[in-house]
Amino acid sequence: MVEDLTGRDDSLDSTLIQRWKEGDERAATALVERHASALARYIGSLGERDSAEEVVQDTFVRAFSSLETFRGDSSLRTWLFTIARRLVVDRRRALRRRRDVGSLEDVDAATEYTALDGLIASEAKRKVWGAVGKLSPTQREVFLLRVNDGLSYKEIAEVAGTTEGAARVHYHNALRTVKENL
Amino acid sequence: MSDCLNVEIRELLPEYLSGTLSARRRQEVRDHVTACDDCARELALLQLVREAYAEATPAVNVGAIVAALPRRASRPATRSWRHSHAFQIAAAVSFIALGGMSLAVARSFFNGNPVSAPIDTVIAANTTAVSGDMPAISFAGGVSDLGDEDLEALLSALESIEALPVTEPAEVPLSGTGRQGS
Repeated sequence: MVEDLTGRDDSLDSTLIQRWKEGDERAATALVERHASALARYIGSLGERDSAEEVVQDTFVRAFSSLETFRGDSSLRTWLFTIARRLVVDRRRALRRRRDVGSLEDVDAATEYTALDGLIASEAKRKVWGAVGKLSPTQREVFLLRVNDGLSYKEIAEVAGTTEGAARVHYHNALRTVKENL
Repeated sequence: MSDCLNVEIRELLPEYLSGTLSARRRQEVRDHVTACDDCARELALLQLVREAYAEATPAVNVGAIVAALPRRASRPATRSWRHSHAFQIAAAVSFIALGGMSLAVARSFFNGNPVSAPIDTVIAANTTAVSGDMPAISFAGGVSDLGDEDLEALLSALESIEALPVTEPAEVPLSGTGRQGS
């Protein structure tokens, strides 16, 4: 396959979904290759780094179970992010029942981001990483969906369960805060 | 770091990095960033965020995810027409329409008045029903077209019909004479 497997080409997703519906199992592999890393990065940004792979797998299993009914009203990636977010929220809720685990809004960003400093090779990137880590969970989620994945405000609103206007405000506040913290 | 006043271009920077802009918009952003230090710095910052998060993306095993997906081959390639949504909806609509029609016919039969029929039609139906005893009259063009004799015949026929509908359904007549006043 010569296409850019990780890019955001919605028409390529549609083609692959159609091929999978027609019985081409390799199309499923291509779809996973296209979106798995972005999903893992997003799930990690929600504070679920340790369980990211498991959540990515659950996301794809759930998505492929209902891919027949996927109408393409939103992009496949947006739909996958929405499923992943719901799974993370469900996991948090289940864990909270058993022990004291916070919701998406309660993630201790400072601890999470300090622990990951070692993963970033350059000093400049570590500083940026730290600045993003100081954002509120909502600001960070919106900011990273926009910067890492190029999602529109409408798509971000769909994924994060907010409005376009709120997403725009969160993004610009986040950008200003990151600039101030550098 | 100050912010450029060209909000439109600033809003496009994340999409520029994601490669989701059209060629024309892409060129617009490139031309602006080449001449604007603020936007050039903001673009560099966003690029740094993308790189930092790309380095820290949790690893995923694509093969394991694909292996866990529901098998497409286990489902029929095409669904039976009897299980298609279109067929199910059409069947439901037909069922409801037939039920409604049956109810309307039954009501008109038991009450002697077709449901929602124009007054001329009602008169014609009742007149026809008693035509065994009365002279045949025809007024296809409406009551206003009737002559004196026809009108007298019609009035005689009407007198033999009970004016008020009964609240309880009358016995179903076994012969084809229709309903007459009890």
